[in-house]
Amino acid sequence: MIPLDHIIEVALLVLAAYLGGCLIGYGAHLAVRAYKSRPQLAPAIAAREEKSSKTTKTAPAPATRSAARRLASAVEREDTEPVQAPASSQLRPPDLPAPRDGKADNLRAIKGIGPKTESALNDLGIYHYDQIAAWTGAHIDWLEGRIAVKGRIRREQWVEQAVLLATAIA
Amino acid sequence: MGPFGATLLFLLGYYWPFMAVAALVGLVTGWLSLSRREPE
Repeated sequence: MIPLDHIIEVALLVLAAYLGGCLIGYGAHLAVRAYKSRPQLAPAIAAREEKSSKTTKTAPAPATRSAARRLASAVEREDTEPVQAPASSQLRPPDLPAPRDGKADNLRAIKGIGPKTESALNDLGIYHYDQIAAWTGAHIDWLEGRIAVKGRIRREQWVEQAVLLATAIA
Repeated sequence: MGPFGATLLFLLGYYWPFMAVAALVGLVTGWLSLSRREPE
């Protein structure tokens, strides 16, 4: 085994290797997470739109589809923005005084939103999927200081999930 | 390279498996430290 006159040096080297491994593991996980959460929803929306236009050819679809297109283009616009906007560009998202038709959407259908966050969103006047789908980077920055851990809204893709849910109920 | 460097090389050459295991454990620890679920 390790002789006693080397034990301190070996322990220091092992500690250094451990700390180095920790840093590399943390960095690698961050990189993988950033890669996984990159914007990639446009093809899914296009496929969904195509599918809905095929199935509802006789229905009065144009208005619905144009709303879906508006939502999709809003998301694409956001995709082109830098991920980290400066703090000065924070903007409160548009709110509603009350849910439309007196009935709010079930925001908990968005993965990452629980009862507490849903109630916080409702307190901020956010009740519907299309409101979340219209968020821009500045809105997200504003919200992250108030209702969510930093980076969570983008990482869990609330906006993209809301686009899908909004187009599903439209 | 002075005596310190020579000692370091000797230790690294002789005890590298210990350091490799420690680095591996550190890698897993660092990775998992980001996987903890954030509070709702």
